[in-house]
Amino acid sequence: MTDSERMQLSRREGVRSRWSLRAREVTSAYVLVTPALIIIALLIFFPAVQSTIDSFRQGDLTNPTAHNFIGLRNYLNALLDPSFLQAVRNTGVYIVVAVVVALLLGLLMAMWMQSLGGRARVIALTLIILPWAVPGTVAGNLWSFILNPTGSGLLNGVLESLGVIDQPQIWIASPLWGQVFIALSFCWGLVPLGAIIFLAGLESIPEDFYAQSYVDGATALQRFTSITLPLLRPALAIVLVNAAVSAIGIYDQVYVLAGFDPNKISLIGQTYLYAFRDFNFGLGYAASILTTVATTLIAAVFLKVVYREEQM
Amino acid sequence: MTFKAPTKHHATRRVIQAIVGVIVIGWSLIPIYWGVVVSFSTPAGIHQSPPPILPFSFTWSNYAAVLDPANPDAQRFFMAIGNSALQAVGATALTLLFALPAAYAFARLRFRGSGTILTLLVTTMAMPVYLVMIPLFQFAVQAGQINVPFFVILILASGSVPLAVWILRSHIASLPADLEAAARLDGCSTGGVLIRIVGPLVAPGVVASAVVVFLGAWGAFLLPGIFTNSPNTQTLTLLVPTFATKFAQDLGVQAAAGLLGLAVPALLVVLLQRYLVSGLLKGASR
Repeated sequence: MTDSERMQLSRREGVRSRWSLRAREVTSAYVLVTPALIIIALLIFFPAVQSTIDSFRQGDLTNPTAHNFIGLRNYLNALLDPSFLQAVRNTGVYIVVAVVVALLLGLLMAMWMQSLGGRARVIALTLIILPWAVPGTVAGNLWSFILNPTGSGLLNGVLESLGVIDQPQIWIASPLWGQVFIALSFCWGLVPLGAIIFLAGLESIPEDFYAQSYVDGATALQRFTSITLPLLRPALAIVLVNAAVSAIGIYDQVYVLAGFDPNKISLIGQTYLYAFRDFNFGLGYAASILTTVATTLIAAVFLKVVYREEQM
Repeated sequence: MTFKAPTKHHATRRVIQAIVGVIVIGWSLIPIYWGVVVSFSTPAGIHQSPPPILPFSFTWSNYAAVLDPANPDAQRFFMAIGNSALQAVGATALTLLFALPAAYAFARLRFRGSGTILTLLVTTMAMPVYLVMIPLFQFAVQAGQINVPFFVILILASGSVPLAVWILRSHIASLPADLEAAARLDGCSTGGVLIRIVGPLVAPGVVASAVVVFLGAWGAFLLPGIFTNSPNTQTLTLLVPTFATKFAQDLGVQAAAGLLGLAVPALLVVLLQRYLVSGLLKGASR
């Protein structure tokens, strides 16, 4: 065997051992990824596909043998159902309040925390994220004590002693105020995440930017609109989309504060009634898919708006 | 004279800072504070008007109602706390068991289709629980999985795996790969690399995703409500609304039960706040 042959052989050996190392890496990668894929396929993908297919089928428990395809009938029935449309309107109010409160209050919290130093900021952050840990049903329960129409209602008590109202109000019974307070009890647990994201966004803006604007004699408001807001755009996008998408799924607080009151019920509440009170699964499928499509559309539109503004 | 304006400006700034602080902290804590006040009040005291700022005629009886083992409501309460703990710990453990290996593979190993699979995984984050609850319910009825806590745990875990993979992947990817290579050269096995090197460094990410999954599973209401209907499997989130009906006039008991129910997740967030915030932000930034 000549030297060159030996070299060629060893090179081939090297290639082979490198190849087998690579093969082992690929194999172990698939072994590591497969369990996660299986659980997601079984419990998310297949049910989602089944939802989609069955939304075009008759699926009424009162008539269990009928399971034929009925085209868009379920969708039409949902869209023509006044209680579904009311649920759409109610959810719209929840989304608007959630988006506005998450943006304004989240940003206010973040700017306040940024103005604090060291230990004070850590304490503030701990107190501010606390509502995030509270289960939705418990949050609804706690807010019901504030809205309570009898003596223990904090809101009535405060407003009465300030002279704003002269007798206790049943806030949750009012169509508008009831929805606003349900939305606020939902925002209570939602805002902390937005505040954290905004705080990180504010921290990432270099001090120099502000220093230069001081030299140029910009007012605080000018600094905010010309430096802070544009540079905060990615954080704004995340908070906006998260608030809207979360609010479409609102259920716990509505249930605890208002039960299945038609003037308060959310899309998820209505879907629940279709499927688990009326046992009309076809209608439930259509409602859940319409809600999912709305979620995707709203997220896409918000992201597009944010990106288009960025190009301008 | 020239120094007066900045001082005045500084003072205004301090006043604004204080006002905003009162609003922000008030918003965050008043619902909890008011719940505490109600939980220490007698039923008669609660209905007086206008409400005082401290408990109306202080009493321990509301906490006794949910904690005294002689009371049947307390027995249900303890069972519910146990069920919630089982559900939250189970879902968290299962999520990490599925997500950690996958996250490591996506962050460190090159394999065909990894990009596609990751995209697929992220897409499932956009598939909300209400999209899958009806078919899963039909399956559970046929397969006798109603009132089986493990089935609820499995559904909760499947919903959390994509987010956990996402957070953990970015944490592992941000670690220097040289470290693992050096450990291998020093004779460390793959398992050893994972346990001794990657493990401790990725701990903040693990803690962050674990806390997020735990909070979600502890607070879950819709899913356990659909898949369970027996008192033996009732979680705290299901028990609290029934207390609101049963003790409609007795707000103190409702408040005591609710506050005890939020004590566990609140304690977790306060104790692990540092990991939670940094871990989440790292996951969000990539």
